[in-house]
Amino acid sequence: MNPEASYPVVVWAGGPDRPGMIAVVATMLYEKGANLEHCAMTQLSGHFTMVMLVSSPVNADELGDYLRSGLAQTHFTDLSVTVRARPLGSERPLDGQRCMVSVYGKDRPGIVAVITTLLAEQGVNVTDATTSVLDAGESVYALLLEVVLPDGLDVAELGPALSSAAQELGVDASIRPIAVDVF
Amino acid sequence: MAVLPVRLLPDPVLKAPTQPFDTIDDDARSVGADLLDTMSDASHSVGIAAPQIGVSARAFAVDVSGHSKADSCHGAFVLFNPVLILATNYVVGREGCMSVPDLTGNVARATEVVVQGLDMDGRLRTIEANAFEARALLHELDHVDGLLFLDRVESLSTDVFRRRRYR
Ligand SMILES: [Zn+2]
Repeated sequence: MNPEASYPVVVWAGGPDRPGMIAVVATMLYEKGANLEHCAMTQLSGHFTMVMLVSSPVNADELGDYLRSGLAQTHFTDLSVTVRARPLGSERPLDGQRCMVSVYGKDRPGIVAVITTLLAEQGVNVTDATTSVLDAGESVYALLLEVVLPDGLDVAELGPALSSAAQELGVDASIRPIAVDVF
Repeated sequence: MAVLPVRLLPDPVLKAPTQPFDTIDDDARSVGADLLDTMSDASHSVGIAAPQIGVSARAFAVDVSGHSKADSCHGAFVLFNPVLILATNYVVGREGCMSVPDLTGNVARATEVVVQGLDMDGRLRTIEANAFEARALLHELDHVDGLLFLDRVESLSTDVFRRRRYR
């Protein structure tokens, strides 16, 4: 860890997936003296995408220029990079019941919009979301969410609201608490 | 007999090789008592292994009494030189560890196990366990081998969607 890296920033990078993408970005950050903190990186239908919380020794604009000009010297010229300053104190702890929400059924427009709007109206915080279109002859859409319920909202209350919204969309939905066993 | 601080990652004792007990003497019993004391002191803890209290030895304690997910329950017990005899019927569950704060992961564990070891009197004990008690036993057996649940995570949280091959 470099204690001189005092600019909190978010780095987004993405492009057509091939081996070495994380390595080239992580190496450039390491060589600059930036600390890579919390990241999510995944491959979506052949597109690799990375979101990284970084503390940088230079400000967001400078780090962005450094990464882009450095990548231009590699064979990862099709990797696009965006860097923004990250307000400190945004890492608030999430207290509350963690739940898993599953929504799936015949593909149609609006599934994500309707379900996440319902959750937002209830003050439910989505912490992770994955969606996919599955080809099982007919197109099936699946949306999986990890959420944190606000204080005072119970799974037993949210479940029926979720089910009726799903019913209007012609899909199925369920919600259940995520149990973590600590040993 | 004492409540000892639970060692946290990156304490090297969690990954260090462990020694078996030659005999179950007063020294061994004192480790066992420390395990039981520390386990019952740590809230929500249903198991603890010797490396977690800084002792590189093959022993752990488990107690799933009163836990809602438990089916089999052997109360609070210590096993020295534990050996896994049988493990079947694997189920994935979300797991965390007292020595690895904040992180959790999906880990497949057997839900039916047979574990043998020596009890506090040095007698061979055979524990047939299932469900929650089986998961606790397997987690503690791993600690004795220097393995954390992080070494057992089979997939990340997006594991429902099978990755398709592009290219
Ligand atoms: Zn543990």
